[in-house]
Amino acid sequence: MLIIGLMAGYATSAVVSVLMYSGLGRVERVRAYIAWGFGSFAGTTWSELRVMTVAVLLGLLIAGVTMKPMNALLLGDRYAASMGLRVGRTRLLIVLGASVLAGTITAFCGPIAFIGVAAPHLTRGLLRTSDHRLLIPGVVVVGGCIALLAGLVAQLPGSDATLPLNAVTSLVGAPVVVIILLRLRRSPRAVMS
Amino acid sequence: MRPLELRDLSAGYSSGRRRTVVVRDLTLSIAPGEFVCLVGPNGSGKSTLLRTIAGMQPALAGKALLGGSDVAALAPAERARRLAVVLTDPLDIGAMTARDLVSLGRYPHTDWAGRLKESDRASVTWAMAATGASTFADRPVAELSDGERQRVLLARALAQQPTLLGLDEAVAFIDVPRRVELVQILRNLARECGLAVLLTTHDLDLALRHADTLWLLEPGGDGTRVHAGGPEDLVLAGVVARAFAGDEVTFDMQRGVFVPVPAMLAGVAVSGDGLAAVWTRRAMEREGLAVEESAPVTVEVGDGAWTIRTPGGSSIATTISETVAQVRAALPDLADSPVKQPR
Repeated sequence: MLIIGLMAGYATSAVVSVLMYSGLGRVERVRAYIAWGFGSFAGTTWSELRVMTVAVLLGLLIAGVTMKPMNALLLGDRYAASMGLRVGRTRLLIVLGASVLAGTITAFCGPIAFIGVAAPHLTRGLLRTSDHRLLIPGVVVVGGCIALLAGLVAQLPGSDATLPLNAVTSLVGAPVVVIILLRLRRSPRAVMS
Repeated sequence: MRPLELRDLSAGYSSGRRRTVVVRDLTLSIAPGEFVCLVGPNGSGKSTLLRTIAGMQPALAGKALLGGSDVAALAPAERARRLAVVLTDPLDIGAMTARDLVSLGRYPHTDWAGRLKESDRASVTWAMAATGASTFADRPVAELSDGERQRVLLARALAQQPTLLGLDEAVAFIDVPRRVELVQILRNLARECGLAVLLTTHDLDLALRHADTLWLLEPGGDGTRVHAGGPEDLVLAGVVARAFAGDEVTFDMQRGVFVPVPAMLAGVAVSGDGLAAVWTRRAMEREGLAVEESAPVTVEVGDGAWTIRTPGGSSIATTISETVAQVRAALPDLADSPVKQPR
């Protein structure tokens, strides 16, 4: 899965490079792309927000209906299937929901690293549960809080300058992920509990 | 309507055009309240058969019927109300209490959000009581012992309220007293709740003692054969001895256990009564000696003392270990030649 993800990432960035190279004539669009790449919550307009709200609600709806199946999948594919779950179909739905949510935010606010990785782990640690009926609303709240905090830090309190949002979350997020991975290596359950 | 019926069922693997049939043309059934043990040597196809019955892999030919309907044609939710399973799959479920895990068994009975109604909670509580898991209901599953975890997994399957319970090696890796308790629970569930239970195990001794019916898989050159019947009937028919036979072991028809094939290099006679004599005979068998009516070396089991008589004289031992050592010394050719004669 990891390798497939990496390859998909390479393929996409290759396409982006080709587009940027061939579109060099229109410098302002390339500059817009680079600005987007820094990530920002500030650049979203009210009319964009309307589209975003609809898409996010759709993603949350999918997350909502997959709460119960995700609980069953905690026991593994075969147990889940034995309890009446159509595993393949459900997995596709879960991936679809995650893609809609992540894709929408990325499209409007740029690639904001690490919140997606850190929020679920943090929520699991805070709530001390594996029940997705609590975890999913919990992740919405915790993820929102982290995003707000990162937005505040990016505005650099007491000055007019702003930092790129992606840089803020990466600076905080990278050590968090390293810590999680180290704990994961020490005990396979540490990250879950 | 029987909870399980197999009609000319063949199970095995197929990848592309290649088909590997593991068990062929089974026609068997389980009645409500019947406790069936599916036994066979390792690799004889027990798990494959159970997975086919559970609809986890397709049948190569024939049908498995759950409550009269073909498992391949049943909707997954309906299948889950007829059959619940306990598998050997490893669990990594993080922070979850035993009760939470058992509650997952209500999956086919709850609404879209998985909310538990009063009746759901009642059946979770009942399932935990029936399996003796109530005492650790609020402990995290990750902290439970193997035996406790199996009880919780069994309770989860019970909470599913099936008519047939399928368990794959559910009592392996548990110490013997806990294992006997768990099998006793299964048996009581079958008797008192009319549940049909199918347990795969390679523990023949356990199956012989507790099962109502044995399904015995006997691997052979021309494919696996299946014998079904009461445990005692299968023993008397010599089927058990044949299915598990090996070069190093033989089935003791008197006691219903497998013992090492005696080396036959020497025999020893053991006289005396009571438990001490029984365990002295076992010690001799462990040494690869044939226990015979009369032999040059005899052991007389007395009260806390063992007298070893050899043609050269006699000696006294105070423990069975010492007795074994002295018998071994009296039969030096045995100690020198560990190679056994062919049978």
